Amino acid sequence: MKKNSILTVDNLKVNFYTYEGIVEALDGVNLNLMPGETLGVVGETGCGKSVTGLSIMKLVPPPGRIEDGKVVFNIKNRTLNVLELEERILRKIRGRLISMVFQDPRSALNPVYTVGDQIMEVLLHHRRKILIKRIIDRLDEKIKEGKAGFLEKFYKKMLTIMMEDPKSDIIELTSKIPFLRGYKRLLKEEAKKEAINMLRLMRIPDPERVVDMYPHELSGGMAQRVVIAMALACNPEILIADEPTTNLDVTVQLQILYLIKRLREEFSSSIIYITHDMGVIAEMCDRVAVMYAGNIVELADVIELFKNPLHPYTRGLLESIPRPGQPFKSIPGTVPSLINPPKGCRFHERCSYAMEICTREKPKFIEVKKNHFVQCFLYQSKSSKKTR
Amino acid sequence: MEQNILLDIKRLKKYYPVLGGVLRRKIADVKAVDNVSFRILKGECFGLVGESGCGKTTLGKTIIRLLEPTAGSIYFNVPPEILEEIDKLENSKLRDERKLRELRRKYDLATYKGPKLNLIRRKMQIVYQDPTTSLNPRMLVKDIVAEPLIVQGIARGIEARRRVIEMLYKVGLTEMHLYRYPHEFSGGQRQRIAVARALITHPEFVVLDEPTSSVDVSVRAQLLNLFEDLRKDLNLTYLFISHDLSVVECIADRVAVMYLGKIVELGDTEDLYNNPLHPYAKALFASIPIPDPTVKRKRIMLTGEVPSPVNPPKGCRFHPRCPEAMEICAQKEPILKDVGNNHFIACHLFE
Amino acid sequence: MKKEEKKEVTTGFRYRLREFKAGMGPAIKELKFTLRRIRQSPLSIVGIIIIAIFAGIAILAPIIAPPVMRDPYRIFRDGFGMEPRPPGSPVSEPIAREKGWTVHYFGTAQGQYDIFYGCIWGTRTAFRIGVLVVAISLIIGILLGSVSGYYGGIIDEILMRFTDVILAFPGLILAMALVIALPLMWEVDVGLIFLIAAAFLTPVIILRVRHMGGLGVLIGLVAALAITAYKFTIGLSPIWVWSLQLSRLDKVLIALALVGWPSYTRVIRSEVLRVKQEDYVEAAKAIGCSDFRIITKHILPNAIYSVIIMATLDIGAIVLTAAALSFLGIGAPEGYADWGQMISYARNWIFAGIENPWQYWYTFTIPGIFIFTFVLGWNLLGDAFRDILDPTLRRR
Repeated sequence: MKKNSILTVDNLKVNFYTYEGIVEALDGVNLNLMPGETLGVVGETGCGKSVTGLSIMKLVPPPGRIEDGKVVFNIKNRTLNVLELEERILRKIRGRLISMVFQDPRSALNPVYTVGDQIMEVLLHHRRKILIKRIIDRLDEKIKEGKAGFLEKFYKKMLTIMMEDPKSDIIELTSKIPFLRGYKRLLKEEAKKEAINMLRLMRIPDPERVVDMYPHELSGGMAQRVVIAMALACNPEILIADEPTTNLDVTVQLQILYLIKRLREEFSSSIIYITHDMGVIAEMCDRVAVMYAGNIVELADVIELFKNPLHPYTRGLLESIPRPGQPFKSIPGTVPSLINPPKGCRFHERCSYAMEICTREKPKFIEVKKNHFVQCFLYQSKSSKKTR
Repeated sequence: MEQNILLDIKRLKKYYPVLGGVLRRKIADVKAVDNVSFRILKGECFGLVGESGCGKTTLGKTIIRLLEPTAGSIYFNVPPEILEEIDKLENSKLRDERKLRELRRKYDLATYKGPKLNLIRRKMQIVYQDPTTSLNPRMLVKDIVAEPLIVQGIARGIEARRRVIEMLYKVGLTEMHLYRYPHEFSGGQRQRIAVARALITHPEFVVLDEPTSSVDVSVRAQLLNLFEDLRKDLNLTYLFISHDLSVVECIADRVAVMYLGKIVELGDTEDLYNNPLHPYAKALFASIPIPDPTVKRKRIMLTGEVPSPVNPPKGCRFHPRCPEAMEICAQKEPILKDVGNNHFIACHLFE
Repeated sequence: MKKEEKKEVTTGFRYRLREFKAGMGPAIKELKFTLRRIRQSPLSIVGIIIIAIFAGIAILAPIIAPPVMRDPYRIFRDGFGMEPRPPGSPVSEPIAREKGWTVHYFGTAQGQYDIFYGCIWGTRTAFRIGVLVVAISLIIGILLGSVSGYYGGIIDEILMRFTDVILAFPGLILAMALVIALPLMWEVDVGLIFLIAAAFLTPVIILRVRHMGGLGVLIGLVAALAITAYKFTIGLSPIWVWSLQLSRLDKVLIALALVGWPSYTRVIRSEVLRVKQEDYVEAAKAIGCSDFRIITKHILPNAIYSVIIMATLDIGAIVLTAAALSFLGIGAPEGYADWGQMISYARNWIFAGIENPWQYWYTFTIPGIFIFTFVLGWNLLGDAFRDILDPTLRRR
């Protein structure tokens, strides 16, 4: 296990229990994310990349169940195994330390609340204290200058109590009296200001107007920016982006990709970028993990991967990118059903280099070159380094 | 005039009325396709690209009369002499209205109704984007593929069955698949069933509406190879609509770029992709992500978003976002002009 | 040449047989899948068992409860006494004894009607009312709903406003009013009906062949309306009159069907609207299918699921409503084997004084259990159907 990685996924196994049988969606996934880098996870539909993203946040929906493995967070010198935490603590982590951006912005946004309300919800949930502190500081200034009236002093008192103990009796009492509960309004206004700020950071034009709009009034690109704003509102350490630009037009996709690149620097987040588009991977990522049928089959730096793809599947993927003037090449066969997955290496039925051992045993995930990992028997003997 | 024009589309319009107010009257039009004219040659694969909302799917469906055109003409498989005559009549100062109307009624697809229209349907077909929704989930494969034959009265019973099996083999399936429901197949296979249904009446023209967008990368190549083989085998002409520019680059002979209901540039594929002239086309082609991390392409970032087709900007529709906009662009709409080498462009920069 | 032709013919028959067998394949697969789903939901098995038991009772009624009167639906009376007698009381009426009745298994109701007999034969009545009413409502609903949903426009508006009007009335009250208002004796000019139908259908069929079905419908409607108007204004001599005698139960049937069809129309219309949007409907248009074919082969088979569920649940509700009408006295006639009728005979005996209030429990409890279980069975079946036919859960 790498010491300085911010996130380590170790031998993650996830099964889905359906009517037709048990779908072995993830079969021992190994990943690690270094601080500040963008790790791409690429694969076709059904390979399990979305499930991996959800598992990292322990959000796998039933009938899925995480069977085995560890997801270890290494933040601020603390190590946490996400899969072992209880819901209460997880809720504090989600949105705050790890955030997720989903594929379809329309379904990620609640259609009956304005965009501003939804960003504010995230802010009020996670950054309440910071917001309150800001208001208190401002009120303090006013008091010092002698411009504060009785009401403001009262609000400051209330907010200070609220910061310590939001459920205290006095807060409950005053929140029922119309005149005295103005401090709550202050909090909301502060949150709204912060939301507008986030929208402006996303380069959304006219954010004061957009903050009161409903999701259906926005175009796809704008809606996706709002979702990204919600994800980054609390400055998370890790951002998981699950195909955020797949549903968008190609010019809008470019805008969003550049936005993410810029935010990467401003927010210094580490990003896991899930996609099926090799072009986007080449554009965005520092390292790439290739997934097939629930396994990570190859993991390498992006330039190295494109130059020297080792796993036959990676080679097939790169060759199937359409090139003008050349016939279309594809990988023969289809993705196997994960209900009764093939024994041994799950790719062996479609692999032109398949050997006898591939049908019996599953190859180990080993480092073949420096920082270049493959899960394939073609390279087993070559490696002298230990298993990760 | 070229000898092998399959489709001559003139000034085609498709507007959707927007109803509003208490009495639900028409207050505006959604100009989905606005005055589009171009030609498709026999046997070619004509690519149509653009972003969402540009009207490419509407254009494809209107050409085969799945939607009713609001205005314009569609000439399908009309001998070049007649086309010339129609051209002459339309452009001359003293128009012989009666003769024009007579010719239109005979040859213009946009005027066809009833049984005449129905006969044409077997010559023009469409393959939809999503094979899961384009096949009736309650019908067996044998019925889905045989239906066009039965409805058109071409064949029935044993003869129909024979043709169905023949077509299934052509698309890479077997007669084992006859008695199955669509949901029992994978996405790629379902798309093949849709192709079989489209081709069973031996059409001459097929609209492929984003046929590979809903399938995986590896299946995509199989389907594209299938399309190429069938095109040569059955002498088909394709209108390949897609938003995936890299796929269109590989399969199309000529490509047209659409923006907000208009064609802004048209040309041979290689010429267009390597040397786009229209500012929108330039930005569009420059935004394709390149699957090579060492290559850094010069990007042209467009500001803003595609405006709504209900109230398109005056003059050239692209001018509010165009980095090279001039004064005239806000006032006059540019017309699609030939700038040599079969390259057409609608932009004031090239007049 | 002739020999080859002959071969074609036999191949034709054998071919048809082969086709049939091959066609069974997917149907059997569907059946297996459905059975598996049923097995996974225990409540639906309970529902099926309940309905199966009731069906068995209904079919075997003549054996379980041999009829005594000439009309088997008339419950035999053992005397004319007012007070109900408890289960186990002996049968004294000679004709009944002849037919094999020795004891009143469930006792007798007011007027000495045998409760056992009434409940057993009442099962038949329940099935008849429930299934027939729902079937009629379904047919009307499908016809009107699909036309309304598919064509939209002014036809849709008119039909929907009409259904709105009917739905505005409280169902039970309207049913009661209809039962009272409908005459028992009907003089129906069947010839006229045939004439109108012919006037409507001829243009439809002729023009459908030439792909102008819509126009045909319009002309047909105009022709039919013209004849109707002619008949009622200028007058047409009766062509072929049938007189129909309706029993009171038939009136209940008709009334309930007339009250019930609007809901079905609405549901089917909304499903048709949904299915109309699907790509395969547009693809069918691209092939050149006529409107009729699109509606019958493409839209309806996909739109019908929610209605089937609704229909199954409705059978129980209809039986309850019919029982209510009988209880109020405007349903089944006097002495008719109907559960509601049985309960109406218990009206005066539900609470029998302070000393022994539940003395006559058998007069209302037993028919009540029959009603309750029957409705429960259909409800469970309806839920089962919903689970099985749910398109999102179906097949992965």
